[in-house]
Amino acid sequence: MDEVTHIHVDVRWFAVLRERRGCDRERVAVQAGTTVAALYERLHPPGPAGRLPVLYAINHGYADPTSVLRDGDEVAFVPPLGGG
Amino acid sequence: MPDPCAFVSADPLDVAALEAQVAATGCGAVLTFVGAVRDNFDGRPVAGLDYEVYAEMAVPVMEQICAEVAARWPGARVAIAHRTGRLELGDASVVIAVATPHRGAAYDASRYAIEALKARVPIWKRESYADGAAWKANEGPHLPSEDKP
Repeated sequence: MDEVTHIHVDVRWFAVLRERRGCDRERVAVQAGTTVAALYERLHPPGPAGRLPVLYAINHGYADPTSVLRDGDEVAFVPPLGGG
Repeated sequence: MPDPCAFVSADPLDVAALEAQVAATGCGAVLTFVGAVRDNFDGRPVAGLDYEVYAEMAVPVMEQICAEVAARWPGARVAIAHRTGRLELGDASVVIAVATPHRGAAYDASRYAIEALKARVPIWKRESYADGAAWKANEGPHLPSEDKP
């Protein structure tokens, strides 16, 4: 029987995604080798216009969608920015 | 301990303190940008704003912008501060203070910093109206990293 390795990451939710998800952070188990984009696809809370386009952040820095998650990473799905 | 070049605050921003922080006798120009809460969006009256900030990431990104300013405009000194939480009309949401040896660089560096902040710093704005509220995204690109010239 195949054994799948799981790791854990901390996901931070902000703004409209926080409202839709109903929490501002959660610890998530993911299969080893999962990319940050794949995790968003799995977790993204649905909205009236479908999936909200986001930037990906891992450990407080922007990351490529193809970045592979590592155990203990902090992940944020960054909705369209509104600073300034 | 030197003053931080970038920070987020739940309290009103002290413009004079930020100007004093960047001022130096080698700088002939001090230029301050203050972003203020406007009373309307596309003609729709705004009652107030809420800013939400991913502080653990916003501050490093703001510090990175400060470093880029210092690298592009030698001798430039910059400080950036952003509010978090509820703001009323007219409140200062962001202050960017820049001091440079000569004034040309001050205008360029100030502009660079605010555009970079709007494109890269993980901060979100929720506008409140008489009849509801909405998350408002900035116009223009949302770039993860320094825009190459």
